[in-house]
Amino acid sequence: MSTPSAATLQSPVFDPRDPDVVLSVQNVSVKFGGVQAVNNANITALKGQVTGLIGPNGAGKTTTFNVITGLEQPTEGQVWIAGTDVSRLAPYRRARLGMARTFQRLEVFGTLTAHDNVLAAAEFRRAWSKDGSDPRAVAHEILDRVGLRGVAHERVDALPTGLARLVELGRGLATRPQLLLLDEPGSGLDETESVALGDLLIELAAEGMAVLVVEHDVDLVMRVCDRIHVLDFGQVICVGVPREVQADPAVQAAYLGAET
Amino acid sequence: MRISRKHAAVAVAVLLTLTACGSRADSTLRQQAARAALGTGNGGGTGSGTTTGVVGGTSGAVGTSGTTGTGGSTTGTGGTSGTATGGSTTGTGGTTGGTGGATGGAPAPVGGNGGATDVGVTADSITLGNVADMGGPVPGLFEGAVIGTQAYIAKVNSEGGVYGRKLKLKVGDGQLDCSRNRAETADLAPKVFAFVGSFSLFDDCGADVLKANPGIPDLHGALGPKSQALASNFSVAPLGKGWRTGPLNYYKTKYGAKFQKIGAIYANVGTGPSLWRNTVSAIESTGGKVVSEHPYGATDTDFTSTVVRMRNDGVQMIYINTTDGATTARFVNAARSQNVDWPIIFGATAYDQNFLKQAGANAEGVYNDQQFAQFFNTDDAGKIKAVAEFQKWTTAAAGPKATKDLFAAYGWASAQLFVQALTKAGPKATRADVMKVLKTVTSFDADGLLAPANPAGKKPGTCWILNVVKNGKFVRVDTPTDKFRCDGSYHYAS
Amino acid sequence: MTTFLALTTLGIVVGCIYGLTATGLVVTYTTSGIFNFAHGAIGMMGAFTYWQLSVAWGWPVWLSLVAVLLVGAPVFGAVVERVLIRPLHGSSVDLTIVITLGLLLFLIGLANVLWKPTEARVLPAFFAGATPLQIGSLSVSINQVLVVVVAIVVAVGLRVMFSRTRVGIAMRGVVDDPDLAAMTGVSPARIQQLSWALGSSLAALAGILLAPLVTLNILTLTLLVINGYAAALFGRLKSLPRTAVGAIILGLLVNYAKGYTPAGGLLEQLQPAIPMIFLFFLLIWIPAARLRTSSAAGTAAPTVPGLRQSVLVGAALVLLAVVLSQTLSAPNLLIGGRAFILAITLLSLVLLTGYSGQVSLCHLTFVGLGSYAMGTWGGGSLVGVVFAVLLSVLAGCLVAAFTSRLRGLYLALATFAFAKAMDEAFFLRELGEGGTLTVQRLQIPGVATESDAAYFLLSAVIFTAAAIGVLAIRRGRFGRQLTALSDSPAACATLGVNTNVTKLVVFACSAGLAGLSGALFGGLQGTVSALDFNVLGSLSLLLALRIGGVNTITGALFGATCFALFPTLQSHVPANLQLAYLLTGLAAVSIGRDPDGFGGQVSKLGARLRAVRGTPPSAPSPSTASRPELEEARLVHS
Repeated sequence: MSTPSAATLQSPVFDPRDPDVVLSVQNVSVKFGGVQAVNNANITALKGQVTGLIGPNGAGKTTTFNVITGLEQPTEGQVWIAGTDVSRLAPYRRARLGMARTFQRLEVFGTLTAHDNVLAAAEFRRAWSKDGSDPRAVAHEILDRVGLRGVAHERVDALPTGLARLVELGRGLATRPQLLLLDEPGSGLDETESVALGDLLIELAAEGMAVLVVEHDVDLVMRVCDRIHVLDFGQVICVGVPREVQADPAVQAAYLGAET
Repeated sequence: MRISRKHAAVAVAVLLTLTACGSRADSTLRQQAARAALGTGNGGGTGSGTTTGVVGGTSGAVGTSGTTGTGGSTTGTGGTSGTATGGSTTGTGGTTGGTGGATGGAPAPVGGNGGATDVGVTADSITLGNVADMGGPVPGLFEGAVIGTQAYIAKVNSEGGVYGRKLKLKVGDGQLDCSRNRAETADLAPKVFAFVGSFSLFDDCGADVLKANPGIPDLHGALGPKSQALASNFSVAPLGKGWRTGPLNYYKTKYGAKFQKIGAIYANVGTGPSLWRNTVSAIESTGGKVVSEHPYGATDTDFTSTVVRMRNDGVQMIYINTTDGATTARFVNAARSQNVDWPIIFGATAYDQNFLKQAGANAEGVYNDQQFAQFFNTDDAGKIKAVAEFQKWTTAAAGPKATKDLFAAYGWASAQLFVQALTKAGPKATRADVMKVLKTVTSFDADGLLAPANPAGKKPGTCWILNVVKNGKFVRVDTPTDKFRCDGSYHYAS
Repeated sequence: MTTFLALTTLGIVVGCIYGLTATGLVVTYTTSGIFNFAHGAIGMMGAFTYWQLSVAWGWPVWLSLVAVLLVGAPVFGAVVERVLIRPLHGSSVDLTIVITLGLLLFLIGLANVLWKPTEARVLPAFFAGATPLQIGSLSVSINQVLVVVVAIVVAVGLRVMFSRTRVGIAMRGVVDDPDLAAMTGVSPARIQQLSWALGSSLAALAGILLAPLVTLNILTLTLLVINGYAAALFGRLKSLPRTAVGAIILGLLVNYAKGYTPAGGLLEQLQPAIPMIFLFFLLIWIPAARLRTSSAAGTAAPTVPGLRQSVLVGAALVLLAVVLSQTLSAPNLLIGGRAFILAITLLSLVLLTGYSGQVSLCHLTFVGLGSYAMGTWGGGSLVGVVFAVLLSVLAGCLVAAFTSRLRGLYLALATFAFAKAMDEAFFLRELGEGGTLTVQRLQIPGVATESDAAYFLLSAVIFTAAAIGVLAIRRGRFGRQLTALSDSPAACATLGVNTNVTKLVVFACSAGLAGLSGALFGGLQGTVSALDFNVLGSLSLLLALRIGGVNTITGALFGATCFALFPTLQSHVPANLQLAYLLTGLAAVSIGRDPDGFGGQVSKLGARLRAVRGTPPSAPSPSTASRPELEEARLVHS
């Protein structure tokens, strides 16, 4: 698949029914009281790609995730997942279309062990998909894959934040999503762990998953993302491949403005 | 909006379910009522007053104990040897009961009294039990029952006891709690000779224990149907499934057309509704008519809207018999504040010092009919010896501020009935002997403290007195000063 | 027409009464986020203290008013805030409910000790001698007019305060955004204290004004505020003007119902439950709140014993029960049996509150329905138990279906409303003649269970079986799902779990278990009445569970034993010393400081012992690494 140019990406030319378009956020706006948290955003995540969503703090990234997963209702706009308009669906129905996410503020099942977190998710998946999979085998495999085997029987609220994030990632994977939303998966990880995470994301995309990742670690983002959306004050100010985004003056202004 | 409609649909479903439950339970109630009317005898009950709170029963009024129309002869009461004979009277004229009530005890017989004849008995003492609600959410609720029982025991002991034995009382606190009542009864059952003067809204819980121990005489004002049905229970004021007609006839004569326009409130709790239906049946049997009746619940704190509605319904007189003093006071206050001029008549349970206090000036001119003497008034104490004794000994037992309420009167009378039977059963009496004597007591009036009733036959009496509140006091009116009126009969609701 | 006018006028007067009681409730809730179940009790104390000063001691009216409203009540409120409320910062809703409930019970107990309830006290009406106001055919006493005037003055005054004064704005800020409030330089703790002082004063004001109208009675005054809950919820616990409107609507509704309900029939039966039905429907029409993200104060989740261990301990318990059944006296067997049966009820709450994190204030209603089914259709048979469980499950499903969108306080209040409505409209009326229902003891063919000893043993065995079952659930797939739901409903939803269905299922299971305990409870007593299933009892149940520890079997058994023993202790002290109430209240205060309760302590002790023996504890105590983060989450999402 060829990567379209930044210019075409900025306008919503993707047909949400296109089988390669796993997620399509169309003209979404969210208002909290008088605050415009998200303003007419269009975001697309494609099959087999890691898509980045970056921006300064308070840019509306997490709110966008909440809108996609249905935890938050947008004031305007639609969300399509895998060719279905899910704007009116409850969060659990959206998840059953093959979407999983992690949270910026941890939402682990803190009183369960890492193993049981993943197992629970695998059981949920089995219960609603009735695919006859063996949750314990799934859990075992995933713990290995995300590198949590060593702490599998520790209670999660006793784990360091970085590892707890991996638990959330593993939990998401256990539902075998076609779309994975990751909210700052790299924060709290050390250098090596961060590299391993990056490899894992590339691997997942290679297997055909659509990954949408919010991340502050610029190196990580630049390394793993196929395309990047930049949000600032709720607006998508730039979309493109990493190189293009890095070079974009508006992006630089937003980041510099935010960091001084 | 879609959501709202969905919820509305579910709401309707719930209401339908509730309706179904309601009607089913209603038919059960009717069956029970029918059974009771056919003669199993457990009809009346406990108009348990307003139930609020942890357990409610702020005043746990004792429903209204009816009295039957046997009007019969009263055998002697009290006394040493059963000498006294009350006049055998039917119709009018009062029975003041036995005359020999002055003494309670009997001297120890020559040749000893047989020592430990039965459970709780030694050569010089007999231990009795009493379970009343005292602790719990309404502290002191029925402590009067204990005080009255203790008062009579103190009187008897001061006269030397019975056949050389002093009476002792073991008290269990029911705490207005079913389990507690049962546990206390089970605790005392193997230790006491008899239960005397108990009083509890949950006497049915202890009744299971007594049923399993049928040999223990139980002398107390039974409230629950199980308690009433016990063969071993002897109540000084048995409840009946109906209402006495004497007072109703009186009101009919006195108020004429107004008797056709009666308004009422009744407790929407427990037996409240069925008790009231019995009363309505009696009213109708005497030619009266209730035109506006209103159940009240625990949260009803103000009756003004009820009075407004009654006025709208054309009410001309008020007849209430299933409420406690505090509720009656609230109603009277509401009615007076709306300047209605209806005659207001209420039942026995509002003969209560608290009613006078809470209704204040509004109580003036309010009537009530009741089946016991004015046990806390000084007037009756001056004329009826039993009342004077009751007041003297309750004061002696628990101080001048001692509760002199209906429960104390029942406790006193129950103890008196017990001593009378024990005396008659002789010095070597066992539980069975006493029970045998009790089964012959078909008329008892505690020397005029209570209207005569039939403890053995479990039949309420028909005699009554009429009071009016005058200058902040209950005063007898159209009633002999030292006797009951015994006109009228007892109407059993069908 | 005159009747309509009169009822309308009355409705407004009554509405003002509700409004006055609701106002104080709203003031404390907006600033502290805690729904004060003890609000009515504080008002009751205010009224009695005022009576003590002005009537018993003969102080002048103005002095008594100053002493109560400007000194006693505010100081009391401030002290309560400091001692009870401040430590609750960030606690779960059921804990805050339990604490204020503890205060409620404590105050009732204290008032009963100080002012013996069997003695009637009269608080004279204000301006008793004045000529009443005549509105149409209705005469309105000056005291009633005063209530209306004060209600309006208070409402307007508070409105001005909240919108115009610095303190008032800060008060609103505290709940909306504590950080923001802190930035304006006002200490949130200080503001919260101030609001409790104000709320307490408003409660006392309402109590003093209303006592002459409704009689000076401890329980009546304490429970008077309950109708105010509906008014407060009409204002979503935040808006004073909406609260006022809700109060008036409810006042009118109640009075029109009294004036026009046809005699006899279902409507008449439902009439006393109108405020609670109103409250219930208000709650279920409240717009859906966002799914809760992580709960803040995770209580310790103790190690869950394995099947072998739980069966062994269970066998030991049954063995102990066998020995006890042969040695205990009859009354003690009854107490013991009650403890086991109550423990089954608490197990149902362990399942619901301990495992899945939901609150229910209507569990005694399910117990009552179990007793009702057993007594009405069961006749002591095993089929009766099935009926009991089915009826309770049905009721549980209904409640859960209505309330599945609700959580936290709203769920608590909705279940409270349901329980209270059932009290008023069902249990008080339908439990057989005489208000009591005979319930047979469960008989298992071939086993004699009639005697107290046998029934005690039966209760112990059923408790043990239920406990092993509940533990098995905990360890299994459904248990993981419940824990997941409790730890993060939001995460559950994004993993494809229909949380409403999960909630419904667990509610139904829990109700069924409660129904089972109800069938046994009825048999133990032989007779049940409405008082056994009163809504305040449901509140106490939650308290018992908290005392024991909300998510352990040990906790359920311990809490149940305490509650079964309180009355026995009471019978060893003078009747007017309200031991059960005072102890319960004190226990509530202590669990405010240590929310894990007895079961949590035992579990911690076990972990420590294992650590000493060198085995690493399999369940490390929580809240080390991620606690600050969770705390932060709470601030943002609350």
